[in-house]
Order: sequence, then C-alpha cells, then structure tokens
Amino acid sequence: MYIVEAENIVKKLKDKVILNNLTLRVPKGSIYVLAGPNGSGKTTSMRVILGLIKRDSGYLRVLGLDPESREWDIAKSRIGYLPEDAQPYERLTGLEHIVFYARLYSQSIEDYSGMVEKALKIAGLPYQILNSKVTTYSRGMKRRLLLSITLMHNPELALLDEPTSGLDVVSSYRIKEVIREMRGNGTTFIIATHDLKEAEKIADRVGFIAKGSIIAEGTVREILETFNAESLEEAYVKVVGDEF
Amino acid sequence: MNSSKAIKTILWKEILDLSRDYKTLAAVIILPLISLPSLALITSVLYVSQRSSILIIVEDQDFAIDAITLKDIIVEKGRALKLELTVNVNTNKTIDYKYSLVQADVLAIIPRGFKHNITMLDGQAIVKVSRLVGSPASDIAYNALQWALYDLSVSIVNERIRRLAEYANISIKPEALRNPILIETGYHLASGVQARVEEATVAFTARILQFSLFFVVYPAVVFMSDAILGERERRTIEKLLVSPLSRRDLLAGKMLASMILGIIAALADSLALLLFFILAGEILMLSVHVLIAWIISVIALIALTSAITSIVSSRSETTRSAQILSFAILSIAMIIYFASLLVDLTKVPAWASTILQLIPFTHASLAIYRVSTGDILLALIHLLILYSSIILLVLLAVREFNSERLLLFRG
Repeated sequence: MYIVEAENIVKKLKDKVILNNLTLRVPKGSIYVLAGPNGSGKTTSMRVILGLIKRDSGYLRVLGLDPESREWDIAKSRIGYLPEDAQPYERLTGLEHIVFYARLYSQSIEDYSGMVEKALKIAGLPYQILNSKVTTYSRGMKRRLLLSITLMHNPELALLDEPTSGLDVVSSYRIKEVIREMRGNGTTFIIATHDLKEAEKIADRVGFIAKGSIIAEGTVREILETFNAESLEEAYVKVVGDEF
Repeated sequence: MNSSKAIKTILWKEILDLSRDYKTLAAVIILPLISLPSLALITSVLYVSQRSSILIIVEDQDFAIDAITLKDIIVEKGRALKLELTVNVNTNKTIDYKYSLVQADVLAIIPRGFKHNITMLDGQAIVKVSRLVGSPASDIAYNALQWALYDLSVSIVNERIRRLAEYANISIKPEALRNPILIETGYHLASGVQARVEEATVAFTARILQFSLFFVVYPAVVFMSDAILGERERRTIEKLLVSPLSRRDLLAGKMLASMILGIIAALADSLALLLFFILAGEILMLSVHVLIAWIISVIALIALTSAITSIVSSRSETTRSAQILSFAILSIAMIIYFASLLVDLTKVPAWASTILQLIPFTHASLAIYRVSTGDILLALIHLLILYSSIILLVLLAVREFNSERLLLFRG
C-alpha cells in the first residue's frame, strides 16, 4: 500500500521545467530517500506533495487525498514537514515553540500533553536551554528543536528536507535514531538529501532524482545490483553520467 | 482545526514574538510619545529663550524723553511674553548707522518731526524700521515693537479724540469712536442648533484627531508586512503553511496581532499629537462620542491598512519593497488626513467630493467630523461604507495569501 502516489507530475516555473513527469510511489511505513544534487527538484517535489505548490499536470494522491483538494487542510494534521532552510522564531524560546505547535496540532488537552512530552523527548535538550531564546542555540540544537515539532504529533507521513545537512556528528546521529524509531512505530518518511552516504545508511527505498524526474528507484541493494556499484554514489554517477 | 482556537494560537505567537521586538516597539510606540511632546516643549523653551534686541535711534530730540517711555512699553510687552528682549535707546547726535545695524535685530529710527506729527490733530508720523533677515529673533523683536507702537498709536488717537471733543464741546467715548463695530461671535452646529464654546473646542479637537489618523497607518504597515514577509525572510513561514491551519485562519491571526499592536501604537501616536498641541498652547477638549468615533475609525483604518499591506506583501519580494509600495498606496490616506486639519472635506467642490468619497480612508475622517458636529446618522453611514470596504479588502487579502506565491515569489 502506498502512502504517496505520484504519476507524471509536471511543474514549470517561468517556462522552466522543474518537475518533468515525476513518478514515485512511497510504501507505507518505509523510509524513502529522494536523492539527488542541488537543483534536481527534491524540494519542489516535496512542496507539491504537501500542496504548497500546485502541479501543472499529473496524478497525485497523498494519504489517499489530492493535496489541492478542499479536504487537504484536515489531512495536514497527519503530516510533518521539516524544510531544508527552516529556522525557528528567534525571539521565542524552545519551549514556546513546542507549546505553539502543540496548540496548533492538538485536539484535546491529552493530545497537547502527549505532544509536548514527545517533542521534549525528541529534542533532547536540557530544560535550561529550552527555556532560553533560540538565538543562543547551536545549528544542531535548532535542527533538533525543529525536528521535534515536526514529529511531535506522530504524523503518518513525515517529509524531511536535508535533515542532517551541515550538522555535527552527535546531532546527525540523534536525528537518524529518532527517524528509525518512529519508522518502527509506523511513520512513513520521505527524506530529501544530496548526501548519498547518509541515504545508504537509513533508506528502505531510494529514488534518484535528476532534472525533475526519477531516473532510478529501488531498495539500496536493488540499486547497487542493477548498476553494479559498490555505493549509491557510484551508482548515481553511473546513472546520470557526466550530466552534472 | 477549530477556527477560533487556530486564530487564538497564531495571535498568541504573534503577540509574543512582536512584543519582544523591542527596537520596533520603541520606534513606533515610545519614540512618538517622547519625540512629539519634546518637539513642542523644547521648541517653545528655545523660542522664548532667544535673545533679541531692539535699538531705538532718536533723531527727533523732542521725542527723547518719550522714547524712554516707548522703551519701557516694549520691555513690558517682552516680559508679558516671557521673552529675552533687550531694548536700547540712542539719542546721540552723531550715529554710526552701519554699526547700529550690526548691534540690533531690529533698528527703529524716530526721524526729526516725529513728535510734531503725533502732536498735531491730523499729523502722520513715521517710524523707520530695519529687520535682520532670516532671524526668528528679529521677528520676535519686531512683533514686540509693533505691539508697543500700536499702544502708542491708541493713546495718540485717544488724545486727538479728546481734543476734538473739547473743540466741539461734546462728550465722546474714544473706544466707541475708534471701534464703532464690535463682533460678538457665537457657534452653531450643522443642524442649525446653537452650539456652546465647549462644543466648538470639541470640534477643533476632533479635527486634530482626524489629522492623528495620519500617524495610524505607519505602524500597521510595519507590523503586517513583517508578519507575512518577515516570516518568509526569516525562513519560518513554510512550517506554518503545512500546519493544520487554513490560509484564512493564519491570515486572520496575523491581521489581529498587527491590529492590536497597531492600535497601541496609534494610541501612543495620537496621545503624543494631542500633547504636542497642548504644549503648543492649544486648548483641547474631548467628548465621549468623538472619542468612540475616533476609536472605531482607528480600528477600521488599521484593518484597512493591514488588508492592503497583506495584499501588497503577498505580491512583493521583500519586506522593504512591500513597505515602500504600501506607503505609496497609503499616501492617499495620509494626504486626506493631513488635509483634514486645514480643509472642511464636506465643503469641497462636487468633483473633488466624488473622488474623495470613492476612497475608503475619507470615511474614517468624515465619521469623526460628523460626530463632532452632531450628525450621528451621517457618521454611521460613513462607518458602514468604511467597514464594507474592509470586508471586501480582507476577502481579497485571503485570496492573495497564497503559499506558492509566498514561497516562490511570483508577484
């Protein structure tokens, strides 16, 4: 069963084709890594899946709904999204971020308490730090805080855009740990990254994206076997050749 | 998600965030409260502390003793106005005029024959005056001199009347002869009902409140453009756009937050403006009706400004460009509110009135004016037009508040 089904998605911006007949299927409960270099269409794919950007053509169902439909606002509470360049509100504390998003996502007091508890656990930041403004946080702390509010409501589908990019080893490790744990609890992940070594470590399925199209797809082993490569990096180079 | 809970949550975050933006708050709330009254206070203190001087050169030796009296009158006038005024009298026969001009802000020459001319029944005496150019201190000295010479003229005329009455052997009141027409001024409202002086003062204060709307626009533009484009520039909006909020609730929460802070800033600005006029010596008075009309107009104006800024922000690349474009559009409002201090907007020609009535901002000003003149029904009509425009613009703002446009900027 697929949680995301996209067929021949086309998106143009000022006559430039950003997504070119993009087709992908993400099985429920998997970690799907969308791998490709900068400018290959990863972020736009995620934004189209989330209904933030309208597609020009193609078929798209996410959680069984069209993201451009009226019902989508309700479905958004079942989704978590961490944009690549997302930043927290500088004048708010970490705790205030958690409270704000818990209020937005919760339906009841029990929901709210559960979300705050979960976010505190995922963020893993000391109370003293959580109570100070985020301007004092390191890049890794900010990313962990943002991840915690992305996943606090146990989303069925979580889209993470370059979740570990530029982070220190500890922060990066903790984030991957959280992703694996939540996948075990039933959350489906779509992770966009240009770091193929990272992709190899956590992916159940990998989709190579280039020029707005999926050019190869499968489990890590399937891709390595298909392209007779020792690493995803090598496989990717073999697929795209010298185009990039 | 429940709309009211969603709006409250956004409102909570926005207020918390904006209330910690100390620099902006200081610029739009505290600064006007300090700067405008300080402007009036410091200017008036500096004005009266200017040292100005008058030199009276008496060429007519017959007037030498009277010149001392004239000097005393001028000094007395200066003292009454709390001015730092120095008056010197020179009765020397040899005078260096160029040196004298350097010495004084105002030089007054009493030429030969002056005493003779003022003593005659139909004589006309001349005082030659030279004023230092480009100096407000010279204006002060000149005004004091004019005032003193007017007093002198009055006493000369009174003396002439007394003499003429004596020749004619009749009894005359010099005051009545000099001022045969006295003006007794009263007031009336547009409805024709007689008004009291207090009502005229309230109407004048209402004009200042109409003018105060000029300052209401600025904070609303700053807060609203920052609430939309500031979030995009600070990379915080995308997470918010995928939360279970509807576009309408998100925009409503942001508009409400901008409006609350805009109203606080408007109160501060208007209070500062009223203080400015009070410190400048104006007598002001407010009625409950005018105050309510002003508050309703301010809320409407801020809502209108927020809706326009939201539409502009949705189509702008940066906060700065949105603010510049919003101010360009809202300068129409500023022109109307500035003009309302000097112009009765209900008395302009039909073509100008038609154009003004088409601009929603005009109705905020006219609502305050109508209430101050007792036309409550007309005031309500203006407010109805104003709030209808707001509904239309808010609906347009919701339509324009589009995630794709915000993320990719496709103005």
